[in-house]
Amino acid sequence: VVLAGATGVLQPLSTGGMTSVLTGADEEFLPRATSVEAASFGTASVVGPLLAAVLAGVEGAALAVIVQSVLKLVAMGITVTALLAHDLRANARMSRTRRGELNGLVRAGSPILHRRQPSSLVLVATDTTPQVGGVEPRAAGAASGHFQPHPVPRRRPQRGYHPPHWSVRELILESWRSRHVLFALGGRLLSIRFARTKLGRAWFVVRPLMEVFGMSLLFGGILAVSPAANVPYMVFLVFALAGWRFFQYAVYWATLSFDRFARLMRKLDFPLLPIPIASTAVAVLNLAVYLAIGVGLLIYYWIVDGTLYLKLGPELLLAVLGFALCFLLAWGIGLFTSVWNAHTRDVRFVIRYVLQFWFFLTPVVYPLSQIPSGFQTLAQLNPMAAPVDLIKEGLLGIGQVDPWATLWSVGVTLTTCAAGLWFFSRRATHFMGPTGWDDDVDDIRRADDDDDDMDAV
Amino acid sequence: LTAEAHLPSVVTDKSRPPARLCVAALIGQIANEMTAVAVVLLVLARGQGVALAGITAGALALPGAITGPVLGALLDH
Repeated sequence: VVLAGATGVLQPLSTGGMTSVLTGADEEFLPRATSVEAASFGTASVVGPLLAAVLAGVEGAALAVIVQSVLKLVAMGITVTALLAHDLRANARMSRTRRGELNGLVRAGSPILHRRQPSSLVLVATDTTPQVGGVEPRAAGAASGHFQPHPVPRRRPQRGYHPPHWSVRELILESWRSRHVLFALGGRLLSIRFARTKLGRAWFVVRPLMEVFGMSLLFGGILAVSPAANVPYMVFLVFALAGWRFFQYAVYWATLSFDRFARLMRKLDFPLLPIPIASTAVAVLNLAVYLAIGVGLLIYYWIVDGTLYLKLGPELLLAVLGFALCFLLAWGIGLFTSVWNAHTRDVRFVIRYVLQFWFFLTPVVYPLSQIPSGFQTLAQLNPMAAPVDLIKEGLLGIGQVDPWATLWSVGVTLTTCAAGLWFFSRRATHFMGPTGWDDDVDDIRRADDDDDDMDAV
Repeated sequence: LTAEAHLPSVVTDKSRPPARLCVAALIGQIANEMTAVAVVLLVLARGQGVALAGITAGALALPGAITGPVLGALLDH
C-alpha cells in the first residue's frame, strides 16, 4: 500500500509530462503532436492492461509488476537522454552571433540573465562582480543595445556586494537548465578523488572490499552478531552498508562541495544547486561498487550453499525506495551543510563525527530485532532506520519494515528537502562575493588533504 | 531571452519532432496502464483479499488526484 501510494504521488508526472511539453509547441507543430499523443494514450490504454493480464497469467502477477517498473525506468531513461542529447547538439549549433550576444550580456554584468542561458561552461567564462559600487547592470546592458530588459524598479545605489535573492522555483528552473553541468562536475570530482595514488581508481573497489571483509570479521566473527533467517552475515552487512555508505558519502561530499569547486565557481558562472548534487557522484559510484560486491557474494553463496539469498519479486521495489530515501535525505541535509561549510570549515569536521555516531544508531551492522523491544520505537525515530530496513527487506527479505516508521522517514526526508531548498535559495548566494575563497588553493591538493577517515569504525 | 528561452529546447526546435519523447511517453503510459491491473492481481494472488486489493488500487489513484494540480503547474512552468 505504501509503494502504491508513492507511485500514485508521482503518477501525474509520467502521465502529464508529454502533454505539458506539447503546450509550449509551435502552432504548426501542435496538431501533429497532439494526434501523436492521443494515439499514444489510446494504444497504452489497450496494450497496458492486456500486457499486464498476459504476464500475470503466464508467469504470475509479480512479473507484471516488475515489467511495468522496468518500463517506467526505460521511459525515464529515454526522456532524460533525449533532453540531454538535444541540449548538447543545440549548444554545438549555437552561432557565433549568438555567442557574441551572450558574451555581451555577461559583460553587461547581469547576474540573472546570463544564468538563464543553458550554454556550455566556456560561454560564461568571465569574471563578473555584479552590482558592485551601485552600478545597475540591467540598465547598463540596455544602454549597450544587447537586449530589452524587463522593467526594473529604481533602487537607491548601495555600497558593497549584494547577492541576488532567488526563489525556490527560480533556483530549480535555473538548475534544470544547467543540468549538463552535473556530469562535468561529477566527472571532475571522480577524476581527482584518488589523484597521485599508486593504485589510482582501484581504490574505489579496494576500500569497500576491505571494509566489508574487516567489518564482517569484527561484527560477524568476533562479536558474533547474527542476522535473522540464516542469511550469511557478510551478505546481510554488504547490502545494509551499501545503503548507509550511499547516504554517508552523499552527505559528506555535498558538505564539501563548495569547498571543492571554489576555484571553478570563481571563474565560471552557473547555478549553485547542481554543485552539491554533482558532488554525490562519489556516493553513487560507491553504491555501485557495494552492490557489485553484494552480487558477487550472492553468486558465491549460491554456488557454495546452493541457496540464492536474493529475493526476486516486487519487494525489490522496497529496496529502490530505500535507496531513494537515503539519497533524498542526504541531499536535503547537504543543502544545509554545504552552505554552512562554505561559511566555516569546522562543519566538515563536525559532520564526520555526527555521521559516525549516527552509523551506530542505525541498524546497519546489527538487525533491528536485536534492539530491546522497549527501545525499538525510539530507534525507528531515526529517519535512516526505515530506509536501511527497506533495503534489507527488499533484497534479502530479512528487514523489519514498519509502515509507520517508513511514513515517518518519508515525512522527515521530504520536509528536510523542502526546508533545505528554501534555505539554499536564501543563503547559498551570500558567500558568493568578491571576498570568497582563497584562489590559490588547488582542488587536487585539497582532495589529497582530505583523507577522510570517516570510514574508520 | 524571450518566452521561448523558458521552454525545453527539444520543443522550440520545430525542425525536429520529439520522436524519442513520444516513444518514452508511450512506454511510460503503457506502464501506467499496467500498474493498476498488475498490483491488484498481485494482492489477490497473495491471498490478501479483495479489500486490500481495493485499498491498494485506491492508494495508486488517490494521491495523483491531490498532487496532480501541483505537479501539473510545475510541469507547465
